[in-house]
Amino acid sequence: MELDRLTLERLRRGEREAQDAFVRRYAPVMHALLRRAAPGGDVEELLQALMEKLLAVVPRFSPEGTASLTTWVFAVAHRWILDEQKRRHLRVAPIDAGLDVADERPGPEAALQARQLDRALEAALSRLPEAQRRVFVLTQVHGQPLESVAEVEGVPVGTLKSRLHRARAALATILQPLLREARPLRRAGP
Amino acid sequence: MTEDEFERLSRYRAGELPADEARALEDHLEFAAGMKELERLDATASALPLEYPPERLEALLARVRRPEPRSTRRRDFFVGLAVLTLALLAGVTSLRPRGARWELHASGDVTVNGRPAAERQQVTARDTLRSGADGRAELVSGTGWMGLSGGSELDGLRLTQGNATLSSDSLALWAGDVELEVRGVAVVSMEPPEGVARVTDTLNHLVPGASMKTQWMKLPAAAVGGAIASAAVTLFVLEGTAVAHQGGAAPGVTVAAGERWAPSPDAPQPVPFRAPVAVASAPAPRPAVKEPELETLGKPELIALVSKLRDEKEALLRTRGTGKPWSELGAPATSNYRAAPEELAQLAKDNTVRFHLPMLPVPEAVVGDLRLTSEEQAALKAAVDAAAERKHQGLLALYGEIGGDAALASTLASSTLMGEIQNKSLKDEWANALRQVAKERAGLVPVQGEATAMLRAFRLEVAEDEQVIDALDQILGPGRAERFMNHDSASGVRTYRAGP
Repeated sequence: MELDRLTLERLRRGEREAQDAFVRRYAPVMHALLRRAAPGGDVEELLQALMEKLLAVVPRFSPEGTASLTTWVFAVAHRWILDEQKRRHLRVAPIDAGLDVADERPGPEAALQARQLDRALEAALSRLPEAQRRVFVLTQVHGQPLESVAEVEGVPVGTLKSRLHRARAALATILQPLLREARPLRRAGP
Repeated sequence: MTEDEFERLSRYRAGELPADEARALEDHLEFAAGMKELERLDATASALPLEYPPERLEALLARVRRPEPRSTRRRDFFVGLAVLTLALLAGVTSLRPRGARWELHASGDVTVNGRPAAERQQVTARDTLRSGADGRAELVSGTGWMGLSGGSELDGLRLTQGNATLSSDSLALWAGDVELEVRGVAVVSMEPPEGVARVTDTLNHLVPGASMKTQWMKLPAAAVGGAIASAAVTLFVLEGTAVAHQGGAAPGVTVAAGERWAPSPDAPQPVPFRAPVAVASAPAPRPAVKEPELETLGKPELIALVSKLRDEKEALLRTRGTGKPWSELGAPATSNYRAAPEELAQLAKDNTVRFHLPMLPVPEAVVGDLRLTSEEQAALKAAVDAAAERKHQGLLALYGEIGGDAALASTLASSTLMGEIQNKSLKDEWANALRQVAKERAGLVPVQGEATAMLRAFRLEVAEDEQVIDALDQILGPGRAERFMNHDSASGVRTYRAGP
């Protein structure tokens, strides 16, 4: 859900309540993004640094522009991840954080099956090349527009699509046994 | 599916289809299964959990909140004004609002309200200061430091001519119709149209009697763009950030280190440090001991130079023993190496703990600058890894002690374990533990007594953090260890801050 215009205006003025609303809205998705698209660092440290960056630059966001706040935030975060990876030489590491959150899905068997698939997908993601992982996470997990992701990556949309297809093919190959067993999937993403 | 298609499937299942038709159907079924698998992959991806534990969110909020906005302060000001007015109406006439007080240290041609300034005197926000061609005025308050020289004029807290250099955690200055809030080191220029802006590194914080280094640079008009017009405002940020509010209106524009800002264009621009930069013949009341070839320096080298000068200044302050508390000097006392006692005390006062983050593998720039051997690099990595492992084992044990699941813990990273310990702690324990460990680190309270799991976790983190610095000292020697930790590319800090 986007922040309303009044909150945005207060955010631009730097009011604390608006900052809190912004952090509450975006910290969870940024945490998820960092965990999957920039593994290798301390995710909590990265999240703190990214949220500090976002709070510093969000006054420059213009609601009159073409991008929604969420798309804009993801674009800033995406650039930040690319910069951070260059700076820190982040290495790929198995994802181990964040899987301990409650999973509220109906039916223990279906829940277990879906959770297995989630875990397997998380693990498979960490095996993808970084560029493929970024495009898959940004577009498929977080629903960001291909055009926006391509712009930040600095590649044509066609190149990005190729990366996405390769990522999906690799993941589907890795996860094939589980995907075959999986029951029809169930929930819409947030 | 149509009825015909189901009939074909039924024949296929019964083995009644001709071989070629059965093969074609199998190919089709395989393709269709693949489609289903891709659909499930996409659906799974779009529904991956995005939750973030609320307890961690609260802690994150405490760490990332930015300072209170101007509008709130302005509102507070008006509330205060209303209270004062009511008090006066009620007959309380003894109240006398006092302007902000600064301690002025003057040398050369400096005037206060048109009269020659004493070498040291108090000034307020109602006074007008002017430094002549060879004058130098340094203003020190509890909140920061400001320097004026070479024909600069300050009317109250409004710069009307020349340059002011500022160093502060939070200092507001007006220049023309622009209000600037500086949290770091910045230079404000109100230059006439000769086409130059003078920039000093501003790091010569006032030390009576000390001969400090001063660097002066002349940035030609090309380097500051078209911003220099008659009495135009230009802001350079060398460290930290500054916020510029034009016409006093919110929102402000945040300007980061290495950027300049001028009212038009409004967006901050990186300072083109590679543009020709000349050492000015402009007044340097305390001659520079060494002046590097600034023309040859790029932005990273210039930032490194600023950092180096600051380190030298800090070392000088320590060795000279000025007897003045750090806060009175207004210095932004930060070091990624061993913090000075005054800095630790200030951090404790702010309920803040900083941890060091040496960068590994060591970036090439650092290897080159410090001439690190491969053996030293390997030893650094081993020391940092060993500290991380000890911390991890300690947190695992702690997590087990408070009833955490050992099987789960074995799969978690240290940062997640810290989060888990926090989750299992009472509401205020994280903040209480942080305040306590900040005081302990500053030596303000002894490390003793019953401790919560959260406090023990923080103590463990502090102990291993200090072990890393000790190891750096042993491997590189204290001097190189300090340079390593304060190198622009070699390290950073992670800061935890609890509320008051």
